[in-house]
Amino acid sequence: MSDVPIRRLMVSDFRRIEGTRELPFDAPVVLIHGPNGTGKTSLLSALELALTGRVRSMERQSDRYQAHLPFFGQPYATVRADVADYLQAGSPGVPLTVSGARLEGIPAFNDAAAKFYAERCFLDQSSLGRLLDLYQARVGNEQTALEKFVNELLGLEKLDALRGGLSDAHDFRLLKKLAVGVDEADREAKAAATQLREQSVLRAETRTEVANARAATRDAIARLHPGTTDDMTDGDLLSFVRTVLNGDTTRAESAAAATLHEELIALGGRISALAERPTTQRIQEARAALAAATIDSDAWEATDGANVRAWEAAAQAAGADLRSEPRIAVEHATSLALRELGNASNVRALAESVSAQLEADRVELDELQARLADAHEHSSALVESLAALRTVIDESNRCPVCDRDFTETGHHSLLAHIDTKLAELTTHKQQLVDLRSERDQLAARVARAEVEYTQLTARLLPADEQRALAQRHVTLVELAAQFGGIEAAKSNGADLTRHVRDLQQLVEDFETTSSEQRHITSELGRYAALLQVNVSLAFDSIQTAWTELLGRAEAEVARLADAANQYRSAGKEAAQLTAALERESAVVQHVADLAERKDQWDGRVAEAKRRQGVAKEVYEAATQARTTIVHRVFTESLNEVWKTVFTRLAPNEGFIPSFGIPSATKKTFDIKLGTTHRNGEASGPPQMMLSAGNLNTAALSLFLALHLAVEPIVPCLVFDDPVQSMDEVHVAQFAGLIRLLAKQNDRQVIIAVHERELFDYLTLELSPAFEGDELITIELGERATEEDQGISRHMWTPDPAIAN
Amino acid sequence: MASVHEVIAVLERAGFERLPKPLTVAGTEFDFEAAARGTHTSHDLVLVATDQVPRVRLQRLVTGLARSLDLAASRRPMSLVLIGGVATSDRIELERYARVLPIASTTPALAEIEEAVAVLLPLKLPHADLVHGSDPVNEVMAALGPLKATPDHIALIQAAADGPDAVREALRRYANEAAGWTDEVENDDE
Repeated sequence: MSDVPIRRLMVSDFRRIEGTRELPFDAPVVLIHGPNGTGKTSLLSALELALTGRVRSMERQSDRYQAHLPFFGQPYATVRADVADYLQAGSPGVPLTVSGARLEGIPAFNDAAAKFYAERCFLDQSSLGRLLDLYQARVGNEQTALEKFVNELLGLEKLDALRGGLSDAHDFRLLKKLAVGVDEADREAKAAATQLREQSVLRAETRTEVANARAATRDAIARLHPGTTDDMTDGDLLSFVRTVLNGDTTRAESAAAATLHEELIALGGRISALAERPTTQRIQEARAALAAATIDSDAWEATDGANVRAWEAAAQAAGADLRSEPRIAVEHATSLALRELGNASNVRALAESVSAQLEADRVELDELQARLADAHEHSSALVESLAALRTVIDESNRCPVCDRDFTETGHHSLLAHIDTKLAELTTHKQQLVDLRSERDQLAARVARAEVEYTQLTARLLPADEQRALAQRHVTLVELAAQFGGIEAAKSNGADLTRHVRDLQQLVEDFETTSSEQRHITSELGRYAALLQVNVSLAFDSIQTAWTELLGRAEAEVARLADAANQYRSAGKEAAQLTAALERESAVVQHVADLAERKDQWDGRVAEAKRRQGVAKEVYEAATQARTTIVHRVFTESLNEVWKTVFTRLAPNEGFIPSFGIPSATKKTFDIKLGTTHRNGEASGPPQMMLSAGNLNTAALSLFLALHLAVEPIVPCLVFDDPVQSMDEVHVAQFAGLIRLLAKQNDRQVIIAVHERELFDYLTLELSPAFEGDELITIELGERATEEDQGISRHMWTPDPAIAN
Repeated sequence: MASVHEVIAVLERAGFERLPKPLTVAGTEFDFEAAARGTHTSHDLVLVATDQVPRVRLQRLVTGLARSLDLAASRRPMSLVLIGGVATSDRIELERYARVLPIASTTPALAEIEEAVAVLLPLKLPHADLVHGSDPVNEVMAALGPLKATPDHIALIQAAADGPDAVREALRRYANEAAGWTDEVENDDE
């Protein structure tokens, strides 16, 4: 057994061990015996320190325990452990020195091995009694030692990471929150669904619209072309409608019918104006009467007519204006002739009177003329002389003519005298002016009278005219006498003429009526042909025929209007159908687009949900794995091993300690220790249910179980007096178990005991069982002073009692 | 006697070897109803006795055997399987020489036998892989079963090695990818 983990221990001045000791440990089983106080526990502490660099049991007491490690009075302690290479931390053979608080050198084990050794391999004496409490002690919120162990054992970090990371997959809302793309897809899908619903409703509506429009179009076209469109597709239907509409002539026909109708109404006016149709007999009678009247009239023209015309010519010649009533005209002409005659005699008398007056005035004028010439001559010569004289007269008052002083006269100056004479002469001149005015008036009167006389003589009718006038007057009087006979003849002639004219008018009217009737009949015939109606066109039935034709024309107009309406309606419905089809097509396309869009987003959401499902499955699987692992670890592993170990050590105990199986889904475990009765019933915690001895056994078996449950990083078990309070049965069982562990489970076992008897028993019980098996016993105390230092190596020897 | 055979059968299954009757140690015969010895790493000597054997005689047999073994300097540990009840005083006396493994019933069930001789049987330790060393991922895969072990599942599971945030990120990308979402677009938007 060269592959045991712990090979050798050197200890020097460590706690109760004075001096230096080299102890071999290179055997599967090492038994150490030391009575109390011989350094048995010190040795195992030294081993722990050498292997791990710490002494945990002492650490729990005081963190300054290192000060107490050197042997009393020594400055430092030295320890060194030789271990298997695979557990070695540093260079082998380097000791560890403790001095006060200082620790020099490195422990033999690497960290993992050291940790495993301290926790799973070495059970020190002071810990054994308190093991259950130590395992379950909780400092603050930290995990208990047991919980730590279980968590490490379970290795659930990955699973918890998986579960924690996938927790959002449990709820789609949480997933959407995590993955915004999913949220978007979900929203898009819902929006698309809503739109699709709306558009589908719209599509249904448009389809109804199309159906209605189609039905309406079919109805409309069926009225024009019954039964032709029943099985047509919409496209065929619409193109059929187009063809039908292209062939629509109703507009022109309708206009023609309307014109025809109007013409018929106009013709109706002419028909009603056509009063009565004269019979042929009546026309002939009228013509005969006209001929007779014409003869009478001509006869009158020849006789009385000539007389009348002669009279009228005479009257006209006599100056009667025949434009007015002839009798009054003749009378008027007569009185006019009379007045002219009177005028002529008056003018003659007046001319004679004027002539006489004129002769008298001429005489007087000549006389006055003479007087005036004398006076004028006298007056003007004196004034001129006086005026010339005045200029030569000065203040001397001496007369230039006679040189006499005028002052002698006594009155006043000569100048004043001449001025007075001149004033007098001026007065005399006024008289001369008056005389001249008188002469001028008279001369004017003579001139006027001469003019008047000339005029009057001009107005005087010559003698022949005077006679003609008289003659005309005579003629007129005669004509007035004849007037009665002429008037009667003229009246007669006028009657005859009127009669002829009336008859002519009658005959003309008859002929016009006849022509109108012919025209109407012809027109009606034409209309009848146009309207394709057979009507009787006899005179009596014209009105009837017209009424019939008008009715027919109205019907035609109505029919065509109706037809036009139907075409219009068909066109309108077809347009609506086209529009509805377009809308439908657009909506259908939109619905298809939306459906595609919805499908796309639905697909994405579905895929996201599928992936959510995948994540959930992984989550569930992780949970299941967790549950499985927890169950397996607790039931198949921990509890099973604990039970196996415990029942071996305490076969008669009814209650078996066990871990309460924690909830697998909780992230942290609240580890509870309990017991299970052999009948399977769960019971109270070990501290309540087990005796003190079996409680120790429970602790020891728990320690072993935890050791056995994990990968033995250091395949080694070190016990410091583990069987102090065990009874013999338990000791025997313990020995059997240790033997199994050492010999079948390849654990190096190091046990220190203080009882001699137990040491001997274990030496026998753990003695080498097969070739190569080995046992080292180390005895402390007095035996150590012997030559072999109390160290014995027990090698295997064949059993002579029962041959192998 | 049937129960004696059953005990021996249990022991044989645990690697013990039945010894011929009568048991002969250092030339002396001991009339035990059955005996077996350990093989390979075990050198136990197991004796089987029923309550048919008077206790005094049994006492003598055990004492004699112990002495013979001592004389032969044999280090074999001795265990005595006692079928049927045993008085406490007798048992204490017997335990001075051997580990006594009593079976209360005279016709014990297999479980009762195994329980009684448990200390002689190998430890039934859980398979190491079941407890540790095995990646819990394998457990998850097992829980999923072959049908659900798609690359998608595996990708999520593998993210667990980098902790919960890595798993969450993997889930986020995985779900977003399903929705046609790419983070590049998201970045463009931002």
